[in-house]
Amino acid sequence: MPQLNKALLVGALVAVAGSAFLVAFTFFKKGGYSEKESYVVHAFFTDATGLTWKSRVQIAGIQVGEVDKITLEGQRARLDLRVKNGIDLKADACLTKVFPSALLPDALLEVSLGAEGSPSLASLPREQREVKCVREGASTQKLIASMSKIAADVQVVTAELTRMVGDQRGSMREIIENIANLTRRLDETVSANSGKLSRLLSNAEAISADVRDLTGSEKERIREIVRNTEAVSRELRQVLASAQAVMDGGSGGAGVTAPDTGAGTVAGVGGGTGSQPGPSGGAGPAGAPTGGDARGVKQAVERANDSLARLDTLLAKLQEGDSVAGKLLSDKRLGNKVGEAIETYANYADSVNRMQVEVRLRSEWLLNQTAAKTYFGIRLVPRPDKYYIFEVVSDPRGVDTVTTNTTTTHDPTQPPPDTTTVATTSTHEQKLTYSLQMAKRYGPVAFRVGVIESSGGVGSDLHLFDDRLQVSVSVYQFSRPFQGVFPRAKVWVNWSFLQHFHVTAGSDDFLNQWRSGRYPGGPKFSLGADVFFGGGIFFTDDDLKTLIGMGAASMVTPAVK
Amino acid sequence: MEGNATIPVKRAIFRAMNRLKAALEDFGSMIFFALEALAWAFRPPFRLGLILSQMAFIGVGSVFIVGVTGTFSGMVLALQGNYAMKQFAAEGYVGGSVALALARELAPVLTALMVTGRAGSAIATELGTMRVTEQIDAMDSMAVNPIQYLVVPRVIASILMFPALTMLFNVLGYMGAYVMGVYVAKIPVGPFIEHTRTFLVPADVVHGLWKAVLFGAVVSVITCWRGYSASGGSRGVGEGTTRAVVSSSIGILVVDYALTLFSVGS
Repeated sequence: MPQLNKALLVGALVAVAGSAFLVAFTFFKKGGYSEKESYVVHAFFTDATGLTWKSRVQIAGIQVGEVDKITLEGQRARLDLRVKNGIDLKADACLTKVFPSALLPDALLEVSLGAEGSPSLASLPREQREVKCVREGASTQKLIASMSKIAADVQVVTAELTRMVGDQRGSMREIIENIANLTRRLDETVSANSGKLSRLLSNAEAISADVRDLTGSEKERIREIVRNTEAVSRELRQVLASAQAVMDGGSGGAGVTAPDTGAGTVAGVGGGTGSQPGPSGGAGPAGAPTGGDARGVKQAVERANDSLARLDTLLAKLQEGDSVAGKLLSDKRLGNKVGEAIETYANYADSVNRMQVEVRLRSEWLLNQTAAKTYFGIRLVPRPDKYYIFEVVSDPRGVDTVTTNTTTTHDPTQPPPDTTTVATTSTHEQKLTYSLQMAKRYGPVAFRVGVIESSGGVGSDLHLFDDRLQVSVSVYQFSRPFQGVFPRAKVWVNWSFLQHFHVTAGSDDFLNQWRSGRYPGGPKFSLGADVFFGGGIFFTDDDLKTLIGMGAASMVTPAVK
Repeated sequence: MEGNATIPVKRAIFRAMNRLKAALEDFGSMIFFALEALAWAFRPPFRLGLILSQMAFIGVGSVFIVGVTGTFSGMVLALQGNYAMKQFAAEGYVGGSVALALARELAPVLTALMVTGRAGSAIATELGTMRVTEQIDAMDSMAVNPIQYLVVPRVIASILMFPALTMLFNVLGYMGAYVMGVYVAKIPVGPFIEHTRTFLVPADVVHGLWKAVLFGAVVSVITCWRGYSASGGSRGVGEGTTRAVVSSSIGILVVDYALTLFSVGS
């Protein structure tokens, strides 16, 4: 162990131990009970059990002092108590010994300060600072003594009770004897009339059996009778109501012309039957509603019959399977197909409803290229862990393609082999490219594969901070027309803000060195690492979702057919 | 016949007397050795480098074993205390009782026993080997006092390091008790800490540290003496080491009893 390390380690150990000691010293120091910070009072107890050196002295559960010393003076225990200077004990203060736990033998002293006008103990000479009011908590011995007294009292009570019950002249005994006489007489009465009682009970039993038989065997009839009675009473109620209405109508008509002697009532009734017109014009209006009701009922019955006849015809047709509905009901296969189609539509509608369609427009300014690259597309998110990207890209670098033409020339005048000419043409075009990618997401990481800018490619996205930050990398254009060139790799970061906007920065084609030039006699080209920054906008579009839904629905429909 | 029968008894008594005499002589020599070391401790040159080196060996080297012992002692005490106190619905007192037991008794004693096993035996072996290979005699011949050079740094280092290790034992033991008491035995943290504060006073901690100082002196003197007085080749060194550990352990417990008796009373 080198000298420095030894010193360092020893120093560290001593520092740790010293710090621990200081913390312990501070933590466990009970301030307030030194000579300066406290004053001493004393009290005498006949029993100091449970109190020891350092026992708590408290007011309302808060420690204000401690027992300093316990000594024996004669038959009593003298307790010297240290009380904090701030606690002003008066001459009439009281100390109560309390056992906070019924199981533990430790006691403490609860102190009450004393009356305000009394002199302070602290101001008295030390030997006169006695707390004279001392109350001792209930010790076990005291409890036992109290229990002994209670037991003696209980014994007296039980003896008196015994005497009351046992004594010939005692009221308890008399009551018991009366009850015994009463029960004896009741028993005698029952014995003397046992025959009559038996017959009474037999009759009652027979009656109840008859009633049971009746209600059991004729139960249905009784119910029918009850139902009929209900129906009769209902009809009766209706008849009475009609009669009341007729009578009301008759009396209304009579009220105009006939005197109020009951003639109106007779006329009303006569008008109702139509056989005996009354002397007044009240009979006509009173009889009219009854005829109308009858006609209405007849028409209703006719209409019902007509409807039932039509329904009968319809059911017959359905059963024969003549119509479309009949086919649906009678052809099980067709029914199943229709069911599946409906289910497919429902699932599809559900998925379309859940799918998010995100329209995205992004533009990047390439620093070396000094031109902007723009993307426009949509992102379909059918599930949170899957999405599809369709994009149209305008790249200022253009699209480089290599075309190889192989020409085989056959000259009949020459013997084989034929002449083969291979011509490779590199083309640079300024045209739009497209991307079509499928992405699968696992937690914060998504992997993409598909066509990127009209070339096969793969990519990955890392979504962070609730998808507000996206770190992406794409590799594509694995076969490029230039010699010794790596595939095109792009890495960028998107930071979304204000819900629909994002800023972007990254590096394009960073695997290759930047270079630019011009094809011999052709257009300019550029290649290699470039740094870009830019921004974009994206939003979810429900209208587009509807359009996609309609398009897809038109594709599904033929499948059902 | 009677005379023949008493001969073995007499021999046994003589042997016992001789052993007692030898033990007392050995004890007396050790006392003189300790006094000599005490005298040399105050005379220059003060070899602080050697003292530091021994502090690192005795103190820092024992941190692991003392830490482990302390932690587990605290944990066991908390669980046992909880088991006992629970019968009186007084689990809250576990923290205080463990802290008190650690500070006054267990930390100094167990620390001393652990350091005796680890460092004391090494001291005895090292000095014993130096003795039987006459390195100590060579020091004498070179006018280097071997007690001042070899013994004094070890004694001082022990006296300084034992309290530090004891304090470490206290801290880790209480932490172990806290973990087991509060998190395992589900003792409410308030009573656990509050009763620790109620039970323990700084004097208890100081009492334990004073014990540790004395234990350091006792262990270092005994182990140095056993090594210093070793004889009889490698076997003598081994015997000296064994006796050093046994004597030190007994010495720790006897001194502990004496100190507790003086401190608390009968």
